[in-house]
Amino acid sequence: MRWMFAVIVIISLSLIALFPSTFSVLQNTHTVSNISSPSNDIPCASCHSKIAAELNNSVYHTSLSCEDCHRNPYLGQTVAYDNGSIKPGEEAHAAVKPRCLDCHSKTTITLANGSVVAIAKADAFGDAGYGSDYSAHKKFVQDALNFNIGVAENEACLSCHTEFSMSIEFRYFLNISYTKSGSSWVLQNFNVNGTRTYIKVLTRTGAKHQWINTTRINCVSCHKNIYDALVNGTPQSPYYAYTHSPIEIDSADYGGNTYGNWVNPKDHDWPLNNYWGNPRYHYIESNRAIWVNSTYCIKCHNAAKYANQNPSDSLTYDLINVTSDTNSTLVHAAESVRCITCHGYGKTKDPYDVIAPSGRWGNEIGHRNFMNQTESYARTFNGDMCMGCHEAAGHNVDDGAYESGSNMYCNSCHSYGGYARCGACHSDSYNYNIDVIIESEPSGNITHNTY
Amino acid sequence: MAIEKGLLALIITAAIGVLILPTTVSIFSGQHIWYDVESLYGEKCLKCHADIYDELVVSSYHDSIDGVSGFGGGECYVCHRANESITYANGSSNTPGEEAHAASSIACAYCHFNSSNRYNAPIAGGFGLSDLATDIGLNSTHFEILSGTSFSSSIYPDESEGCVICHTPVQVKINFTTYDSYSLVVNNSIAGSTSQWVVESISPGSWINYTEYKK
Repeated sequence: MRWMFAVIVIISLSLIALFPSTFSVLQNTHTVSNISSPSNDIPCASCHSKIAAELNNSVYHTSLSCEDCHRNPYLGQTVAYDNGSIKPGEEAHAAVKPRCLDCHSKTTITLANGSVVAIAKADAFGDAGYGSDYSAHKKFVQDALNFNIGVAENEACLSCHTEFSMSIEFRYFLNISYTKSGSSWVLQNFNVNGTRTYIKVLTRTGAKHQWINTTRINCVSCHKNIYDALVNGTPQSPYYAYTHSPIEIDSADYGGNTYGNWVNPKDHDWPLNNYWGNPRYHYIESNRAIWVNSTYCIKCHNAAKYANQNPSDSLTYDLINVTSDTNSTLVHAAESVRCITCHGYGKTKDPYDVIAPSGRWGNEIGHRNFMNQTESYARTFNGDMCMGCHEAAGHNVDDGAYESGSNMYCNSCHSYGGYARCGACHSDSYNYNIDVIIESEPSGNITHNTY
Repeated sequence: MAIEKGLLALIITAAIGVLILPTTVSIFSGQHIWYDVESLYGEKCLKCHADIYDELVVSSYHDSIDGVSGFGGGECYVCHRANESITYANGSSNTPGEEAHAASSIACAYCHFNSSNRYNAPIAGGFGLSDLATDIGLNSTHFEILSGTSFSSSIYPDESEGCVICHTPVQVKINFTTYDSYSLVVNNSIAGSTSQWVVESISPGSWINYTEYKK
C-alpha cells in the first residue's frame, strides 16, 4: 500500500510539474523587448556568462563593455540598433567579430559611449602592413589571415596574449652538414638532411577572453625546442652539445703569447669573461634551466627591449650601439636575427679584434670569408653554421692537444698541418678540411671530421 | 493509515482535475454559438490564447500593426494570416483554407527581412539575409543561430528561434560546444637563400561543452 501511495504521489506531482514546463516552450515569445534606449538593451551576458567570467579574470579589457568591442560605431562597426532611430545592421546584426587590430593599430579609441581612451598600440603589427619585415612573427600574423578560427589575424594575437590553449607542430630539418675547406676557408658541400617534427602542447585555461599580462608571455612556452636545446642538449663530455647559443671563444692570451705559434700556441680560452672584458652575454655557464627564459631570449631577439629593461647591462655591453646594429626598435616581440646582425663587419660586436690577433697568415681574412659566406644561405641555417665552431661540444675529443685551464681539446680542428695546432683552420698552405654535421634543436648534437 | 488514504484521494483528485477540468469546461461552454466568420477573427483568438495576449500587452512592439493603437487582438490576425503564399479560410470570399485554415505560424523574417513588407516593419540587417543591399553580414557573430549549417530546429518557423532568443524574455537553455584550443602546423620553408616559417594549418583542437541559462 505504501509503495503504491508513493508511486501515485510521484506520478501526480510529475503531471503537475510537467504542464508548466510544456507551456514554457512557448512562454514569453510574444513579448518583444524594448531596445530603443541609446545603449544596448539586450544584455549579452545573459547568454554569455562564461565570457563575462573570463573577462573578470582578465588582466586587460576588464573596464570595457561588450559594446566597446562588439557594437562600436566609432570603430566602423555597422550593427543593428534602435536609439530612437532604427538602423538595420550591415556587417553584423547584434555583434561584430572584431579584429584585435581594430583597436590596437591606434593609440586612442572612442568607446561605444563616445568617450575617448588611450590604448596600447601593437608594436610594428599595429603599423601599416604589420610593420617591418624584421619581426620574427610577422609571417604568422600574415598567414593567420588564411584561416577562420578567429577573425583576420586574431589567431596570432590569441596565441600569445590570451589563455586560449594551443598545440604547435614545428616541421623543419634534422641537421645540416658542410665542409670548411682549407683552401681560403671556402664553405662547401652544404646539405640539409632529414626532417624533424617537434610538437609543443600549451594547455591553458582555454579562455579566449582572458588576456594575460604581457610580462607573462614566455617565449619558451612555444619555442620549447629551443629551450631544450639550451638546457638539455645532447650529453657529451666534458661539454654537452648545446646549440643555439654560442660559446664565446676568447683570444685572451693567458700564456703571454700575443700571436701564438706552433711552439708556444696561443691560448683560446673559454673564460667567464668575453673578449670585451665582460661576463659572457649569451653563453650560459650553469643553471641553464633558470637562465633560459624570455629575458634571455630578448638579449638577442630584442636588444632594444632588453637594454631598456636592463639599464645596467645596457651600459656594460654597450647595448645602445648594439641596438643600433639591429632592427629591434622596429619589431613586435622578437627580431629575426643572424649572428652577423651583431657580429658582422663593422658592427659593435664585430669580432675582428678577436680574430685578427689569434694567429698569423691571414686567418682574419679566412674567418671573415667564412662569415660572409653564411649570409648567402637561408637565415634558418646561419646560427648552426656558426655553432659548427662555437658549440663547446665540438671540442670534446681528447686528442692530446689539451688547452690547460679550459677543458678545451683542440685537434677536432687543429690536428693536422705543419702548424699542428693551427693548420686546418689557420693556414691556406695545407688545404685541410673540416666536415661539420650539426643537428637542429632540440638535440643540437655536433660531429667534426678533420682531414 | 486513514490520513494517508485521505491524502492519496486528495492528490488523485487534484491531478485528475488538472487534466480533465479545463477540457470539460471548454467542451460544454458556448459550443452552440457560432462566430460571424466574415468579421475579423483577431479578438476571438484570445479565447484560447489568452496567455499570448498577456504577453502581447507587455510587449514593446507590434501593438499597432493592425492599424489600431494598443493591443486588442487584431494583431493576431495581421501576423498569423499575413503570409500571402498561403490560402487561409475566408468567410467573406467563401474560401476554404488550403495550406492553412485559421492561422499559420509566421517567421519573423517574413516581415523583418523584407523591406517592402506591408507593415513598415524595421529590417533586421547584419545577417546577410534581408533584401537590403547594405546587409552584407560578413562579420556577424550570431549567424549560426539563424541560418548556420550546424543547427536546425522546427520549434518556430525558419530562423525565428534566433530572433526570439534575444528579442524576447523567453528562457533559453543553451548548450555550447566549442573549441578552447587550436592546432597550429608550421613548416620551415626554404627557397634558395631565404627561409621562413609558413603556417600550413590552423584548426580546432580540443572541444568543450558548457551550458548557459538565459533567464
